[in-house]
Amino acid sequence: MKQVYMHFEQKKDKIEYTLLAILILMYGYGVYKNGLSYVFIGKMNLLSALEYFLCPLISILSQMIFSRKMKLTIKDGMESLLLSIMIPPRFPIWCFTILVALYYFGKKIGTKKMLCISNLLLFKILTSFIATIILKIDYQNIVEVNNAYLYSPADLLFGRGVGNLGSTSILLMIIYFGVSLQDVYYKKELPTTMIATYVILAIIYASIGTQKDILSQILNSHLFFAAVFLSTKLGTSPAEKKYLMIHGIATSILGFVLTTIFDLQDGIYYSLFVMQILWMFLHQRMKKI
Amino acid sequence: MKKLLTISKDQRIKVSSKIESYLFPKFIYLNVEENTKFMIQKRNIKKGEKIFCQDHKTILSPVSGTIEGIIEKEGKYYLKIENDFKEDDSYNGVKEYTTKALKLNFSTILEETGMDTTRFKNKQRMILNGIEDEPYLVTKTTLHKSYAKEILSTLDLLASAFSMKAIQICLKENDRESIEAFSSEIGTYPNITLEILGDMYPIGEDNILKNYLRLKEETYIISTEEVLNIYEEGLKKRSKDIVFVTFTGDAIKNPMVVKVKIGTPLKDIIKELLEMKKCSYDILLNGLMRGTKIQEEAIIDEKTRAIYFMKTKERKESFCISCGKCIEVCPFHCNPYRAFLKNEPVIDPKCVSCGLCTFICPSNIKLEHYIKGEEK
Ligand code: SF4
Ligand code: SF4
Repeated sequence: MKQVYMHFEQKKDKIEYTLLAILILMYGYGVYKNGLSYVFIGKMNLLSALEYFLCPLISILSQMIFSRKMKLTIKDGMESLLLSIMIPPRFPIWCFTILVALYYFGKKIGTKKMLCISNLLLFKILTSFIATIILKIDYQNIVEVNNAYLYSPADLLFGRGVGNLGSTSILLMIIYFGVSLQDVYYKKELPTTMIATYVILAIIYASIGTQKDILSQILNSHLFFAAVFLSTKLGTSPAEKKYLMIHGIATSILGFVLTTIFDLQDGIYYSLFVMQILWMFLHQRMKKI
Repeated sequence: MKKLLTISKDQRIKVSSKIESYLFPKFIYLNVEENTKFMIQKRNIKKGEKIFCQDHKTILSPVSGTIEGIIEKEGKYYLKIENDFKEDDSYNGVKEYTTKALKLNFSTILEETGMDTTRFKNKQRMILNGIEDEPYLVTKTTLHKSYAKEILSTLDLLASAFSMKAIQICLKENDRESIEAFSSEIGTYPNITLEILGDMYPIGEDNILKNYLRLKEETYIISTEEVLNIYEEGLKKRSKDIVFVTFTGDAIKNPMVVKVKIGTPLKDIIKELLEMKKCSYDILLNGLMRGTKIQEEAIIDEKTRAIYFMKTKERKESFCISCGKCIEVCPFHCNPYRAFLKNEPVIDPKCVSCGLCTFICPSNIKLEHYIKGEEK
């Protein structure tokens, strides 16, 4: 019987160390920006400033619990640590629910091999979910509540706070994208086409519509999170490059329409799931060809 | 052309550079068709003597001894010969040619032996494919080291007999021993050049090699084994009765190359030469990328080039995540992903069963079961 004995082993060490370095840097920045800087001017006590460590702590604890159950090593969870500060604070609960449902029931519906998510994705999602849920209770810090101010473009790019307090850093997601490019299985075509299409649509819309703030539309943490992370992890997206690009463009157009025209904050997530289901059916037909 | 992959190897597996021999097995088993059992009678036979003809091919005895009859092993039929260890090396019909006679009449000499020479005609260039694609395999390297002179002179004769302009010898950059072996001999052959290629897989595949070298003119790609066959059968008029086999893998303590008599049972070599580690292992024939799983009862035949003893690894197959890597990595632009989704074996004439798609699949899907090339 023919057998391919060798198997490609991806060297992940580089990715993991890069992620860790990014985490440390971003946390350092976050703790300073949202905590220590206010401690220095006497607007916050030291204990509240240190609450930003809660997020990685929860993430590590939940990883320790899940990793045993799912037979994953703690190394696998490194990404989820980053995810716990990258996930937008308003990431809809229904998305979490769908992802968990897909994990348990995905294999039983449709094409069997398609609509399902892996152990690892569920692991990451759950750990970050727990971290987000707990931190959502303490979503805004006192200083932000007391000194409500508008988001500046820099806030949008760098995030107002790290650790899910305030907005999520787009820069962090761009770094995550860069790091993910080292992963040979990362579908880079999806984020690039999705974001590029969104940018073009935002520019067109700004030139013909009333919404002139292109930057706040583009530097949207939901768009980046959906494009850079979520879309690339779902198994129901196409495998062939040309379909992948069409899929990315279509998801982005639908997402833009839902977010901007129908004013749905979760528009991009709806679009993502709709396109996944649509592709599943289209694919069923194509398989027969 | 697509970017090829480098297959990372375990540096701890090192094949000894000393060539061992196993030329006197007690019994020899030659693979035959089932219907031959009526043609075979118990009798004594000399080394090199004709036993019978099968598929227009004369089966010669690799040893002298007694034909015991036909036996069946795992659905295959073998002719069993008991070795009497009395073989001598005086081959039948050896005729020494002068260099001048060889240069003038090489094509006629080859044709006289019944060799088909049309494949060499009207070719402007010849490439010696001396590339060993499979990991840990050093059979070609051993042949290059042992027969560099013979290979070069045969290539030179072929080029002048069939008016070829140039000959290139293609080797991998990490095959230093072959490079050294040819470099020290090549000086006297101005029409032969060395072409050193990177360690990529499957660069040794003829089509890939042709594309990689951007060959436009009519080229014949010849393998090291084919050159040596021409040398042995065409020039020296002796049948092939030995093979060089690499015995390697992480389940043996002493990986080595062995000069083995064709028809030797693998079990004898395991018992006599190899030191096995205490672990469960799989035995793979001729490759870790496109090899086949065999049992210890297997027989070494003329197509055996390597036998791997690899620690058993269980890889759990999970569902396809549609990453598309199997499509991306295929050097022949096949679509194993679609074949897998169809859930039935697909024959794609472009597929050469290189195994890269299975190698890269993160879900451990055995794509080689879904897509195959045409049987050659
Ligand atoms: S085995 Fe066939 S389909 Fe798979 S990579 Fe090789 S040539 Fe392509
Ligand atoms: S490499 Fe494996 S997981 Fe990826 S698309 Fe091909 S079959 Fe699916």
